Amino acid sequence: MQIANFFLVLAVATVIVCGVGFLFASGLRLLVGDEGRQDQVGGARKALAYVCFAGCVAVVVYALYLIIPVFH
Amino acid sequence: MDPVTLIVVVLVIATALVFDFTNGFHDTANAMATSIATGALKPKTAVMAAGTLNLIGAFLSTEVAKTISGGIINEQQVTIEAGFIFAGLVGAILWNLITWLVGLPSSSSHALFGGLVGAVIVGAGVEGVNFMAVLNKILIPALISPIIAGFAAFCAVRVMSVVVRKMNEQQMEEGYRHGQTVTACLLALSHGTNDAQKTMGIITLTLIAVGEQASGTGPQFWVVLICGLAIALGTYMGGWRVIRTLGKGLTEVTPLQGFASEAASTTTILVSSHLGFALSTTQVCSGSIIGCGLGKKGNAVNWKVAGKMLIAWLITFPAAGLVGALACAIAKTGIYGTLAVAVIFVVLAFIIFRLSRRNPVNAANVNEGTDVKLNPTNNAAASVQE
Repeated sequence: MQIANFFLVLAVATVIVCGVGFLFASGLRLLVGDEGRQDQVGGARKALAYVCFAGCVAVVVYALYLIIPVFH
Repeated sequence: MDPVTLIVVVLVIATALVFDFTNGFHDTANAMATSIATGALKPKTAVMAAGTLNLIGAFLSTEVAKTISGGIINEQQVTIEAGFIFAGLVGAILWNLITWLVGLPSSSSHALFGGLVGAVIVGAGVEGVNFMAVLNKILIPALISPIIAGFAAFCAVRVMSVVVRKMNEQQMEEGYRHGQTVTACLLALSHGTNDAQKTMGIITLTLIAVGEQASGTGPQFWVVLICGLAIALGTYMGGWRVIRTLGKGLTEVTPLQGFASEAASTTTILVSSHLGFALSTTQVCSGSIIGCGLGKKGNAVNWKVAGKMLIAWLITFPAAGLVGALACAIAKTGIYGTLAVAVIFVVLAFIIFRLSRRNPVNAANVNEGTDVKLNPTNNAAASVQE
């Protein structure tokens, strides 16, 4: 394995995992609200939470595309 | 087909299926250990899901690898005989069983390649092995793949911890448990599409070698079916010892960390495969668990267990190679030698199984006991910060 490949996989994997993690965590926080501040969960926050989860679903669908060879 | 060839072919197919089975139960931990440890999935549910997804995965991809050794054996210079494959499989299975007995995750692919290389060296000579490929495809990835996955998991834990720091912990953990179920299933599916292929390739090449199948054709349906069932059954049986080590022995995993670990493992495997080189699932998953352990403030990583794992990864290839070489030396004396190897193999496997009964680990006690000692000072500091 070339050293350049090592850094490429390291960079791409880290960016994707952090991105998905950020989206999922943001979705959870927007959906549930902070501790003791559940009143802050409104329609707009819920909609934004679902947008975050939709982003995660898109990544999962792309992962399925990569896993299943007949798709590519 | 003459009777001697028939016996060898039957032995190779049977041994290949046993290897597939051990591959399944050895690797259940990769996808499900953290989900079981955090309670995202019940142990039996987790292995049932992993087994089913491995079976589905076996049918999703039937592209047989062009070379069963991935370039590690110079297949243009030496002909891989059925006896070499049999001896290599014996080496790989025995190494898988030994590491399972002591609860250490190790790469089944590296064990298979090691067994084959040992058998080829004895059967065809040193020129049959491409040692640069051994370095590039086995040793270097064994050292760097845990670093890649560990770093990705470490960063993800840090990012997510900042985002969810004001959330109610119970609600947050509940949310991450749902996320973990998805990431664990992706990892199990990915495993099924890759690992069942090795055994399909071995059986198909054996059938081609003895003239029972046309050269250049893919695996027959019955081969796909039995390979899929063998790996699924092995996965369902659950390598509980390895699951305990990965889920509880390395670090105390919370649902957030489990999610980060599984997401990092899946992403690292898919990104590296997409870029044209494969990393060991076992090493990637172990590295990401260590990374997620380091990512959370106040958490400890049991470096003693991690060190043992690293040693196991490094000696997997030569140890399986040694057994493969010994098996090949006996098997190449003729059909009686091959049968003797089969008998010795069964006896050794039985002894390992009996030894495992002294300290049984199963679905009921897989989450009991952990070697990880949390640092009380750091833990208290982390609690105050949160």
